[in-house]
Amino acid sequence: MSVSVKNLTHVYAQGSVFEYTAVKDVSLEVGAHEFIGIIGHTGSGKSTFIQHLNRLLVPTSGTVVINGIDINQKGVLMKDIVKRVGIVFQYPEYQLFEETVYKDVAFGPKNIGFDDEKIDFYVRESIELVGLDFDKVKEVSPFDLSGGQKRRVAIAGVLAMKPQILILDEPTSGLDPMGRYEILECIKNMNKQKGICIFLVSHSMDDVAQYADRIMVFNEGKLVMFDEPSKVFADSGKIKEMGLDVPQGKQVLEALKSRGVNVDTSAYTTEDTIKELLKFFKKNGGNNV
Amino acid sequence: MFKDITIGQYYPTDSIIHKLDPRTKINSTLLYIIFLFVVNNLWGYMAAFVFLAFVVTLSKVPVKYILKGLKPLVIIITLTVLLNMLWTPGNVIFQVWIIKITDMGINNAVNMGLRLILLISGTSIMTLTTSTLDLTDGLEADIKKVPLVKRIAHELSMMMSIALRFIPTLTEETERIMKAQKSRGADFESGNVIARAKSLIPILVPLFVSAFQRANELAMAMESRCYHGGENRTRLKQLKYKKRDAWAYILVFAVMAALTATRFLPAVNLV
Repeated sequence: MSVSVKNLTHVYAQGSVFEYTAVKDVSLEVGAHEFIGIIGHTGSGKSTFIQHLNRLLVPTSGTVVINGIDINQKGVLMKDIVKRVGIVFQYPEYQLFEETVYKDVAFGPKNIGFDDEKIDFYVRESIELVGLDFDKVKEVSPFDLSGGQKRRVAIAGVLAMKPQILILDEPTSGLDPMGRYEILECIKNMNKQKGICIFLVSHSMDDVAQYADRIMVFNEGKLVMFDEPSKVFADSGKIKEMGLDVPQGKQVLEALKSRGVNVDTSAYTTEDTIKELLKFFKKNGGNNV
Repeated sequence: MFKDITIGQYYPTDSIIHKLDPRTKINSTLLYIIFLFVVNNLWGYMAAFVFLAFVVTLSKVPVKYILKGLKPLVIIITLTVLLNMLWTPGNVIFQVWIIKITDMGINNAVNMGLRLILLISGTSIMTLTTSTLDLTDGLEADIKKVPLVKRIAHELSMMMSIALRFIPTLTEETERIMKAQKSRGADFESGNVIARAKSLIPILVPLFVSAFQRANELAMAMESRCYHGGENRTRLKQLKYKKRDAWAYILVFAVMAALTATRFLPAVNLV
């Protein structure tokens, strides 16, 4: 399942005083099974961009081709698009509406025409995939759950549609560190084990640095970088100019370097930073700092 | 589809109409509405239309915006026109089976249609040129002059301003929820009336839940800042009539007199 976007431009409220170009001339290719991180300052066009991937927004100009099919072509059914491309919006718990968790998760698969047996299987599978106890929660009203649990149910509701491309807009915002970690690990497993192509929009540089194979950087509606984390975060000056930052580990290394400590600043995940620091201590006998 | 709702929407630009005192605009709009019902023939509607066109030109609001405000009401307008056309007695000029179209029917339909269109575009020009803050200030000042309700003037206008303030928020919210449910394969566009009504549940339930939550939070925020209504509150921005308001009132009174005068012109019969 590949994604290919060509010269995508989106203008809101064209021809009025509120006219605003949210996405400017974005082109990219993404292969199946990739884990893509999307970063950018607020208002940089990330959210507008992702909504084009399942035709919630129609491009002002340009094309979106998914698995060889131009999704904005006449005759392409919305049902067939959402079957392949799932979007989990920011604060997805606000879309819950059914009486029970089971019914809510089954809403998507039912809409795209899965039969009951399949629905039953996928609902159970996806509720367990997001780390909830199926038998315990299936008959509970989603409104009685805690915030973190609601979020998981909402994500399960999209997963149960078995998308091959899964887009998540800030899935961890407002969650505690443990909740964040669990959700991100679960997303990673979907990518590694099931081969689902992931687009993860995040404000946390650490999260995208750790999980993404490649990172898209949006600035003022343009796709300014699309590369591996090591290359995206190589030039911290450039990243900071766009109102973003480099991961914390890298910040530590750069701060040390600017104070005259001879460390290699190329590490960008927390793990690699620790390795680099340990290496440094070993080399210097641990008493030369 | 929600971008079409222009009622209560403000069009920010710099024009003499925008600068008028909100009370002038509210009072003029009220007069305009009343006199639209005094008018009883085509001459009157023509006069009202000329007046409206003049105000729209002065306001610098694109005509497109006002037409957009009419769009969601097309059904009501069409229905009114049709009902008037078919159910008014008079000389039959056209008949198919039991459907009779009379001369009076056509006249009534045209009059009613024009009245509705002028009514809606007239009121939307007021909201398009007045920010919600100004609008509620003006309303409060106006309500304070009405004997029975003057004691709750502040509460009433506060409720109005909160309601107006939340229109864009709730439409945004609705759009967000719609997008989320569409991504889950919900279909709002096809099927019969019952299927469509049913398809609204996944939107309405979350919308109500979040609206109540918002209301709760707002009440909490107001209370924690010791808000307690209108008594002894003073304003930073006092409403003050200026010279241009006097001119506006003179013009409006003149136009209303003209509208009343059109009643005495011979009626124009279309058929």
